[in-house]
Amino acid sequence: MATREAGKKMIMLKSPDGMEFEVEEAVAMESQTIRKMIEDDCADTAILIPNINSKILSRVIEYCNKHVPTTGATGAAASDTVAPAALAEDLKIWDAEFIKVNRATRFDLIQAASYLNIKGLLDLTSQTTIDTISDNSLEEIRSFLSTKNDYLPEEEQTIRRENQWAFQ
Amino acid sequence: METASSEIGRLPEKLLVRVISLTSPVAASHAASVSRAFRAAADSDTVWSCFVPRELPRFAKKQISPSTASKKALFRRLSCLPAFIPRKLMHMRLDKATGAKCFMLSAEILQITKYRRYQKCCSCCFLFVSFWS
Repeated sequence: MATREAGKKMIMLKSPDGMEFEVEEAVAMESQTIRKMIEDDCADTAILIPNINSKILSRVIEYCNKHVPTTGATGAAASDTVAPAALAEDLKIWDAEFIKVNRATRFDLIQAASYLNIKGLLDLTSQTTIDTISDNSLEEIRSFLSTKNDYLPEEEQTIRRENQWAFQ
Repeated sequence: METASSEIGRLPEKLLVRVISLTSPVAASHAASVSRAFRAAADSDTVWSCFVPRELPRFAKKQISPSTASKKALFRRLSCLPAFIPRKLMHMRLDKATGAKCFMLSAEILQITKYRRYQKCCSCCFLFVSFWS
């Protein structure tokens, strides 16, 4: 009983805007940054996450909750009944829904995933962004990503010419 | 709502580099024309290191000149012109779209004894082999 309780140790995450989120240690440890803090005994009961507001932090926790590996006492039973392939497919569908957010939120999530070092989330958010880069014209990329063209017209011509080899 | 928060430019270069690294050589070349910030990220060695295979064979001397010091220049050199690998009597180039290594094997190492006759009737005496690295 005692070990079961120890496995479910809770960690308090605090956002700079004063919100507190109580999460299981295993969920928090999806973030390599937090994992290191816990392993190095730098984390007391509460960890302040700078630069990530409560709105984004709650989304990140939602992601970690879903992606925490289902191993251990309860997880073993779960993976006996559900095939791993089905689980993976389920996660993929969930991810696709999860990432349906506006650009500002997606960029916030990229920064949060980078700071907290959550590889899966960083890959997911980056991948969604590159789909824009890969499939569209320059004007479309600029408009999708709200980037201004800060080249002089002749500069842009030169750079396009320099990169022409890739398209031939 | 086109506010500053929805601009990708607010991401630090490190993250822009990571995003572009996940694309392809063609998309990265495309991205260089978007803006100055994009170009800095898209031309970086970190991005092109992802496209140039980690293990490259030893090419013949002077095949790769010092001007191909940047990873992008190296990729361009190897994708536009096959480089000769002397010990194995083969040429290698990189596939532009994927960065996969493509080898051209000479008839000699395939031990096709009648290759002279093939040479006469067609100019192709190399076999193209592509595989994912």
